[in-house]
Amino acid sequence: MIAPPPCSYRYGLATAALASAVVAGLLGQRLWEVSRRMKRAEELQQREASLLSEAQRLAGVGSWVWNPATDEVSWSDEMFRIYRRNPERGAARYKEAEKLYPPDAWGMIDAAVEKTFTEGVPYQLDCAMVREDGSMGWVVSRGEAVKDASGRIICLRGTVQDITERKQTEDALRDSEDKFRSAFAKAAIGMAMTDMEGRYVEANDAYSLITGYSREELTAVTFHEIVHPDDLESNLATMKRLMAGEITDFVMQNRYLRRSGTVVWVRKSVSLVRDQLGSPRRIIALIEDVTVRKRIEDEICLLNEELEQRVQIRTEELEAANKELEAFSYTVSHDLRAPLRAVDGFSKALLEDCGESLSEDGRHYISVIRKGARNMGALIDDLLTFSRLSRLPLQKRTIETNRLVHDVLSELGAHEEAQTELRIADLPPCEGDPALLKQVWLNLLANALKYSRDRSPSVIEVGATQKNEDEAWVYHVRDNGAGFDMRYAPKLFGVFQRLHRADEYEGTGVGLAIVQRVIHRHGGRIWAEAQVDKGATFYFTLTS
Amino acid sequence: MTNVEPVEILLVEDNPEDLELTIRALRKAQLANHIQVTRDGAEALEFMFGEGRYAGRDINDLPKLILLDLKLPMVDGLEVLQRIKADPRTAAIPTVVLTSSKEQNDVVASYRLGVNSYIVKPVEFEGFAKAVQDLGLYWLLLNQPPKIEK
Repeated sequence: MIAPPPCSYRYGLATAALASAVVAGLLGQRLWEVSRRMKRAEELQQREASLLSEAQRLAGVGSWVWNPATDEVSWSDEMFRIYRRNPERGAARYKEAEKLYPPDAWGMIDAAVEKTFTEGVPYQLDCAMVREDGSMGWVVSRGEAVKDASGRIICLRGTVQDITERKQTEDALRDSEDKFRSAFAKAAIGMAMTDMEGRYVEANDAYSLITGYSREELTAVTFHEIVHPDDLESNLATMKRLMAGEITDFVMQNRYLRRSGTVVWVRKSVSLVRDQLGSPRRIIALIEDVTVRKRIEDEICLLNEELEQRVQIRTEELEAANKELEAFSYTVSHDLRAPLRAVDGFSKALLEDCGESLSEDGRHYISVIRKGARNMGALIDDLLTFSRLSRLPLQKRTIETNRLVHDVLSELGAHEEAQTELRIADLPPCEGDPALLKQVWLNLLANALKYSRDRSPSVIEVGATQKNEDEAWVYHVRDNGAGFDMRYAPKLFGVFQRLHRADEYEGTGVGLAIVQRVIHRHGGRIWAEAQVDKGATFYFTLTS
Repeated sequence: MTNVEPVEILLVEDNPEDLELTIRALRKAQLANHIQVTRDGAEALEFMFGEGRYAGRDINDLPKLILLDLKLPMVDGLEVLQRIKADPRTAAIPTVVLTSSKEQNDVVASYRLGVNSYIVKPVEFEGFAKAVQDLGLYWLLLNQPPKIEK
C-alpha cells in the first residue's frame, strides 16, 4: 500500500476550494489503490466508485490520474461533466487535453505539470477552459506527484473544479464596484463617509471642492469642525434620531465652514451604514452647494416681504383716501344742498308772499334763480351717485330683467305717454346689483324718452340678443330720437360730457358716465350706435 | 266723546333756513300748532327727558311726532334717535328723520335704530313742502299712536 503523499496545498483560499481539494486528494489516493487491487476487490471498488462519483458531482470537483510513462489517463465522472465530454470517448489523453484550454492557459498548465513531474512540486492554477462544445468556462486545476515507497514519482493525479459561476459573479461584482467607485469619484455631488465619531473615512473631489479641504486634509478633521457652529446642535439632534433608528435618513439645509473660514450653504442627505448586527458603523453624507440658490431664495423672500409691505402701505393709503372721499361726499350731500334749498325755498316764498307786487320781469328772474338752484341740486345728486358707485361693494343676485324694465318704465311714466310706442322684447334674467342695474335702465330709458320726445310717435325698443350659447347676452335700448354724430361717440360716456345743448335737452352730463361705470363694475361692456336725427342705440353686456 | 288731541311736534333742526322753510310748510298745511324747536341733539334730549335747560318739564307731556335732522352739532341725530328708541317712555313716539343725506349708511343705521320714516329733503321747495306736509298729516292725523302704559 502506498502512503499518501505529503500535502502542500496553499491554504489561503476559499473554504469551498479547500474542502474540495481535500476530497479530491483522498479520492485520488483511493483511485490509485483501487486500480492496484482491481482484481481483488472489484465489487467493493464499484460500490465505492459510485459513491465517490456522487460526492464529486455534488462538490463540482472532478479528479484524474495520469501515468506519464504510459500516457494512461483516468477521469472521474465529474470530469466528463465539467468538460462536457462524452464518457464513451474515454478520458482525454495528455495531448488531447491541450484542446481543453486556451493556448496561454495550456502553456501554464504544461509548465506546471512538467515541474511537478520532475521536481515533485504540486500546482494550483486558475485558468480558462474550452469545453468540448466550444463554450468557455473557468476551472481551478490542481495536480501533484504520486511517489512509491522509494520516493520515485510514478504518476500524477489532481482535481479540476468548475468555478465558472463564481468567476462570473466576481466579475459582475467587480464591474459594479468599478462603476460605483468612478461614480463616487466623479460625481458632481459631494460624497463623504465618516465613522461614528465624525472622522472622515472617504470623500470625493466634489466634497473637497465644496468644503475647501483636500482629501488628505479631511482625514485630519471631523465633521463637527466643518458644520457651522450655529447649525451643529440641530445636526447632532437629527443624527441622534438617525442612530436611534427613528428615521432612516434625513435631508437638511445648513451651513458648512470652508477651510478658508467662509460659509457655504449645503443641502445634504445623510444616511447610516449598519453592520450585520445592526449597530451603526458609518455615516454617509451627500452634499450639494446651494449657496447661490439660497441667496436667490433669500432675495426672493426679501422682495416678497417688501412687496407685501408696499401693498399694505398702498392699501392703507387707499383706504384713507376712500374714507376721505366718503367724508367729503357726506359733507357735500348735507351741506351743499342746504343752501340750495334756501335759495329755492325762499324764492318760492318771495313769489308766493310778494308775487303780486313784482313785475313780470321780476317773476321771471325768480324762476331763473329757482331753475339754477334745481340744476345745481341735480348735479350734486348725480355726482354723489357717481362717486357712490365706485365706493360701495356690489351686492349681486339674480335679477328678473323683464320686471326691472317694466318697473323703470312705470316710474318714468312711459306707459301713460300717448305718443310713445314701447316695443319691449322678452329679456333674459341677469346677475348683478339690483340697485345699480336699476340705475342703468333708468338712465338709458330716460335718455331714450328724453331724446325722442318730439317724435310722433316716439318709438322705444328694448331687446336682447346672444350670438352663441356660451357668450354673454347683449341688451339694447333703441330710440328714434335726436341721435348724435358718431364722431363724438368717444366723449359719450365721460363725466359732464354733453352732445346736446342744455336748452334743447336738459341734463347734467353724468347719466351715461354712471351707466358705464356700473356696467364696467359688473365686468360688462357698453357701446352706442347713432345717426343724427335718426335715433340712437345703446348696447351693453353683463357677464352672467 | 272727543278724540281731538293737542298737536305737538318736536322739530330738531340746526339750519335756520331749513327750520324756517319747514315751519312754513307745516303752517301752510295747518299743522303748525305747538311746534317745539330744538337746535341741536343735546337740547333735544334735554327736552325729551326733562333735563338741563328743560329741568322740571313734565316729561309725560310727550310730543306726538319728532322731526329729526341727522347732522346736528354736539349730539348727532342718530344718537338722539338711539336714545329715544331705547327708552320705553319715548320709544313709541313716531320719529321721522328729515335730512339732506342720501347716504346709504345713514338710511340703514336709522332703520336699524327703529326710525318710523326717512325723508330726504329735496332741493326744490315744492317737493320739500310736500314731504313735510304729507308726513305731518300722516303721523299726526291719520296714524293713531299706541296708548302708552303709565
